[in-house]
Amino acid sequence: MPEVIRADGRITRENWAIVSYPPENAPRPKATGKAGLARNTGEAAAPAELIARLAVPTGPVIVPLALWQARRDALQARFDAGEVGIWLDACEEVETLAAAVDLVAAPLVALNFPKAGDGRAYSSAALLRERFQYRGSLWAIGDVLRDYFAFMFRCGFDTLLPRTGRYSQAQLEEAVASLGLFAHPYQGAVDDPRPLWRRVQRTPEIRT
Amino acid sequence: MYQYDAYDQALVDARVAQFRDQTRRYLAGELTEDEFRPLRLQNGLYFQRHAPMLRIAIPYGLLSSRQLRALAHVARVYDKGYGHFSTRQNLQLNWPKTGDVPEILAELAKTGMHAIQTSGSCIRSITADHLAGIAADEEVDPRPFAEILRQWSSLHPEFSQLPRKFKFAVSGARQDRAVLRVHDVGLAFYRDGAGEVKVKVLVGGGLGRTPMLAVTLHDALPWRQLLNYCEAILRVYNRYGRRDNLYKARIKILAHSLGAQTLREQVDAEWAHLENGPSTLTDGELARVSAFFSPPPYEKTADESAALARLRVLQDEHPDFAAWLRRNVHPHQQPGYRAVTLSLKRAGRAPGDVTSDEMDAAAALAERYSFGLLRSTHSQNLLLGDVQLEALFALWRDAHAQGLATPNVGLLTDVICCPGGDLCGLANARSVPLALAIQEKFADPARLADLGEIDLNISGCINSCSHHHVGHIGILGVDKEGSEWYQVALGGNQGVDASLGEIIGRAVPAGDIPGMIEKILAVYTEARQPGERFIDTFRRIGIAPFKACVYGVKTKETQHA
Repeated sequence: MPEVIRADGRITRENWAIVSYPPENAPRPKATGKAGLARNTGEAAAPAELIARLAVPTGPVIVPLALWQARRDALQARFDAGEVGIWLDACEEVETLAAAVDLVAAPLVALNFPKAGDGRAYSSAALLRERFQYRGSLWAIGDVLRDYFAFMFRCGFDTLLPRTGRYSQAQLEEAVASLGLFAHPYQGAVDDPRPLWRRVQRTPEIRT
Repeated sequence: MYQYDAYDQALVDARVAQFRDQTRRYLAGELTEDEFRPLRLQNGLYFQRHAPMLRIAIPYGLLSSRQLRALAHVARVYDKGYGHFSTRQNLQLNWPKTGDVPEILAELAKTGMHAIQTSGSCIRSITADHLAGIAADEEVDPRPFAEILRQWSSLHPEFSQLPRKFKFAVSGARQDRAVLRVHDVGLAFYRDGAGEVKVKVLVGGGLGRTPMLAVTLHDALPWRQLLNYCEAILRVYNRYGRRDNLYKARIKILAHSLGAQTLREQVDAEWAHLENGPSTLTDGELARVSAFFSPPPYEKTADESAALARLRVLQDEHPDFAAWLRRNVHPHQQPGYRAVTLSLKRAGRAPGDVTSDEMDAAAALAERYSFGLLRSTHSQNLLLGDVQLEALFALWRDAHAQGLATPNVGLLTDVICCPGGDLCGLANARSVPLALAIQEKFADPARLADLGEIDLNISGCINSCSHHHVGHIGILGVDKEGSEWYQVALGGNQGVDASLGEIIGRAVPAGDIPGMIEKILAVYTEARQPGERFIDTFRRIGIAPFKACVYGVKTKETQHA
C-alpha cells in the first residue's frame, strides 16, 4: 500500500492501486536535436494495443485515462461505487478528461510527473480546480520530489505520492516539517487565489 | 528603489534556508545530480568548466551602493576578488565553492539580494531599460511594473518547471534600450491618447540557435490586466511548449509554428477566464510599489545653460573630459541632471569584469554623485542615474582615477562579450581573448571616435549570451573539429528597428578576426555618407560589398564561348 503525504501534513497509507504503463512505453529520444525525452501535449500517452494489454486488478484502482476511455463500460459500475480513479500523463489534456468522465462523481484524479522537470501537471491541476471545479481528491504521482511538495499543494493537489522507496520515513517527516517555510508567497494560486497584496497590509520597513 | 518589507525579507531568508538544506542533502548524497540540477540552477548556481558559477540577481538592473559593497564583499571573501556583469544585468561570480554558496546567499539576503531564478527553466530575473525612470524619451516608468512582475514570478508554483527558460524585459520609453524583441516576453509600456497606461505585449523573441524577433500579441493591454495576461501566456506555454527537444522548447518556436494569430487566440481563450481575476492590479498596489521609485530629492537648476557654458570651458581645457562627455553622459528627464556610464570595457580587461575594489569605488561614486544608487546595463557597464551637471567634471576626475571613465560607450571597444570558453562549460570557443585583441587593435581614441557607434557582440557559443545576432558586428565562436573558429555576421541591431545579423561567410580562426574587422570597417568608411553610422551604411549598401572585400571578389567569370 503506498504511503502518501496529505495537504495537512499527515503521512498516510492508501489502498489505491495504480495501473501503470510498462517501462517499454517510455518516450524515446528523437533522431535530431537535444532530446527532452518527453511526449508533447496532445500526443497519445501509449499505443492502443498496449492499453488493451493492461490488466486492471480488483479493489480501488487508478487507471490511465486512455484505459478508461477504452473500457468505460466495463469499469462504470466500479466507478459509480467510488473505486475507480483516473490518471493523466503530462501530455494529456484536462479538457479530454473533462469530456470523458463525470468530474462531479469522480472520486480521484491523479496527474503524472513523468520527470521532475516536466511542470505541465501544475497547470493541469490548477485548471482542474479553477476551471473545471473539480472537488475530488487530486494526486501527484510519478517523479514527486520533496523539494516541490509545497508547489504541488499550492496548485491544488491534496495528495502526493513519491516513488516507492525514494524517501525514508525520516526524510518524509523532514519534508513535511518544512512545508510551511514559505508562509506568505507573493502570488495567488489554487490554495489562495489572492496575491500577497490582497492578503495582508504591506508597509515598507525603513532601512538605512 | 524598492525596499523589502517583512514579507520580502522572510521570503528571501526562507529561500536561503531552503537552499542551505538542499545543498546539505546534495553533498550528503541524498539528492542526486539530476535532482539537484534544477534546484541549484533556479538559485543561480551552475557547475562549469573549472568551478561553479553563481549568478546573482540584480532585478531590472537597479542596485544601491550598499548592495554593490555587499557584492564586492562576497567576491572578495568567497571568490577571487572580482565579478562579471552579464547581458542580463546580473552579476556572476566565477569561482565560488559549492559548499559556500548558502553562506554567500545569506550574506546577500542581508541587503535584500538573492539569486532566485537567475537560471533554470523558469521565469528569469527581469531586465529593463537601464535608463528606466530617468530617460528623456520615457512615457511610463516601467520599474514599478518590473517589481510587480518580479514578485509575481518569484517562486510561482505553476510555472516553476517550464519547457525552457523564460525571459521578460520591460521598457516605457520611445527608444528600446531593453532589446524587447529578443525576449520571450517584451513589455512596452506607453500612454494612450487618453493618458491611460497601456502595454504592448511582444511574445516569442529569442536568440540562440534559432534567432527570432518577437511578434505582437496585444497592442494595448490595460495595465491592471498585466498579471492576468502574463499568466495566460505562461499557462499556454507551460502546457503546449515543446518538451521533446530542448532546442525547440522556447516560446519562440511555439509562437512561430502556431503563428501569431493562433497563439493570440489560445492566450485570449485562457485570458477570458483570468481577466479581472484576483491578480488584477489595483491603483493601490501600483501606488504602493511606485512610491519606492519616486524621484530622488533633485536640486532645482535655475539655469541649465549657465551650467552648460561652464562645462564647455572645461571641455576646451580637458579633451579627455570632452570625449567622456560625448560618449558616457546621457540625457535625463530632470533639467540639470544627466545619467553617466561607468565603462567596464577597459583595455586588457575582460568586458564586464569588475574587481571588488572597483565595486567599492563605484559604490562610493554613487554615494557622492548619484543618491547612492546604480544601475547595471545590458551592455555590461555600470551607470549612475542622477548626476548633476555641475558635478560632472568632479565625477569624471574621480571615475578616471579609478579606471572607470573609459570614454567608449557605444563605440567599437564597448564590446559585449560573454565569459566564453575560458570559464563557461557551454562555450565552443573563447570570446574574451578575441575581445581584447580587437580592443587592442582599435585602441586609438581618435580612430574610434571617427568610426562612431558600432555594436560589437562576441558570443562563445550558439547560446548567444552576448546577443551576437543583434550586434552591428556579431561574432560567434564555433567548434570545428576541436579547434576554435569564428563566424561573423553583420547588420544586426537592437532598438525599435531591431534586426538580426546576416552571416558574411565561412568561419575563420581567431587570428584572422581583427584583420577581417579592419576590412569591414574600411568598406564602411569608404562608403559612408556624412552622418551615417555603420548600421545605416550597412542597411543602405547591403552585405555584398563587405563580403567581396573580406573574402575576395569572385570576379565574374568571363565566359569564353
